[in-house]
Amino acid sequence: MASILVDNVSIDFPVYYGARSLKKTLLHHAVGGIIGYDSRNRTCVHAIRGLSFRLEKGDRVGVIGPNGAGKTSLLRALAGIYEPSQGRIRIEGKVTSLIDCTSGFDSESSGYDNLFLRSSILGYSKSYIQDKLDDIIKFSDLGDFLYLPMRMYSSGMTARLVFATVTAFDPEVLLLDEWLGVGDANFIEKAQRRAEEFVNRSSIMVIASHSNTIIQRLCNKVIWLENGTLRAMGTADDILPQYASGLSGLPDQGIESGPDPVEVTHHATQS
Amino acid sequence: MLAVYDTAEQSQLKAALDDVYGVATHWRSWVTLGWHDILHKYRGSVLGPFWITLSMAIFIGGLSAVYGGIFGNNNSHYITYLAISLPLWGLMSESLQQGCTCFSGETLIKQIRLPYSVFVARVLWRNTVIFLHNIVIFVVSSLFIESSHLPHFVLLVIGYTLFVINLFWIALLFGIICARFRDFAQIVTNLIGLVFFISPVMWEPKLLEGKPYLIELNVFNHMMEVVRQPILGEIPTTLDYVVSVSLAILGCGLCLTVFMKFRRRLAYWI
Repeated sequence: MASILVDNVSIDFPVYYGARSLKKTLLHHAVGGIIGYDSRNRTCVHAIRGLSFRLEKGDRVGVIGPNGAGKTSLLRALAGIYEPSQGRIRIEGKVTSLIDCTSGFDSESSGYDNLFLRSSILGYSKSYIQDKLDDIIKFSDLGDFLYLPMRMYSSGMTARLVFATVTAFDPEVLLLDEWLGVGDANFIEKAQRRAEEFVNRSSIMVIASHSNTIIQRLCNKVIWLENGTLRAMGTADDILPQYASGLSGLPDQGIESGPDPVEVTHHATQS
Repeated sequence: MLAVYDTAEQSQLKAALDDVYGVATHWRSWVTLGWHDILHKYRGSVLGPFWITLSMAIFIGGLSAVYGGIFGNNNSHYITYLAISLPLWGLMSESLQQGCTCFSGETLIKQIRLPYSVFVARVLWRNTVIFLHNIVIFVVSSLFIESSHLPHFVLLVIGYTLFVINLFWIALLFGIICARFRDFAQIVTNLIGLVFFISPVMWEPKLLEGKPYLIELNVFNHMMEVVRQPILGEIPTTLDYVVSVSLAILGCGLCLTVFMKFRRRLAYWI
């Protein structure tokens, strides 16, 4: 039974302003009197401020918000990469995260080899990966491209393979960042079906995305972040229209998914 | 069993120890990463990783011809000495230098939650694989050129364990420092260049008999001797063991203190 508790969490990034050097710190301390100043008053970027929410099994959550709202930072905190500067995160269940789908893969190796590479890094044995192989190959639908170097892949093909791989190992908590948006309609449909399977396996999925189409089709809940704080949270049907109307007039909507007829009609009816 | 991640329950000491213990639980991760590093480097080349062996053989051949003459050594003995010293030095110096970049250049840390120690183990493993490729020359040379004594296998295992423990804490410590202060890697590279010349790697300790303290004070030499002497079939001195063991104890303590204090911040620095 997966669950996520986020209680009054803040994430601050220290900014060193090029003072990332031993010399500056040593000299800084050497000139005297301001040692305390350095550690107390250093400049910080507050990526997340006082965020609280709770997610239960079966939740497929879309994280939305403008650039710099703290979506990726939140995902990294949930993945256990950034430990919050304040507050508490408690996650029950095995977490699988994929923040940036291009990095961490070897572009010279084939998709097939990368699939094994990434899965072994995650700690799965060769025989276990072999068991899941058919499922991954079938879902990714790459055909012979699977055996070509990954640098030949389009971003959509990469997304297919990556999504197939990370979802094959029955994660209990799955965290995905915006890269999912590069998939075509066919892929999104397959992803939707797979996302729905999560509910039956009592898992949680969290996706950050700018694309309303992705959120609408893959998620049943939405977390709306703004300036690192929670603007609103609720069902996708409630929140997405508000979010869309808040953004209406801005030209950059759905930019990740390109011109998408479904999305255009959706905005037309909502706003 | 249900995996639980809770930031409230962790004591920093336990979290740091758990991270180091992750070397055992996440062995597949560092074995895969380190092995892939080597395959990646030699992909498409005909000889593959055996380039490592070949380049070391060429290096030893050239060096022994010239330096054997300069130091007036018996050439076949000098080849065997070089064939163990150079790979061992390579293992140590590369592990320390690459330890500096084991976190700072690593994008995977921002992708998946893995113990930080996995990235240190990856560096040591990668260099151990290279070391094993290089040691082939020593085996060949001690079989055909100069038959030295049989290695002391028990002492070798003890010595190698000590050596790896020392490399591990230094690499982890350097990795943390370099993640925050990028200049530190340059400092390390420069110092290691110096240490190479003042340590008995290219020359044998007996050449410096007049000034034994220069060798006795050299910590890096003691670290290497507990591995090198057993391989050569000799017994390391008590001082070698005393220095290596105390270095391991003090170093692990220091490293754990630093790691405990800054582990949480590490991801933010990268």
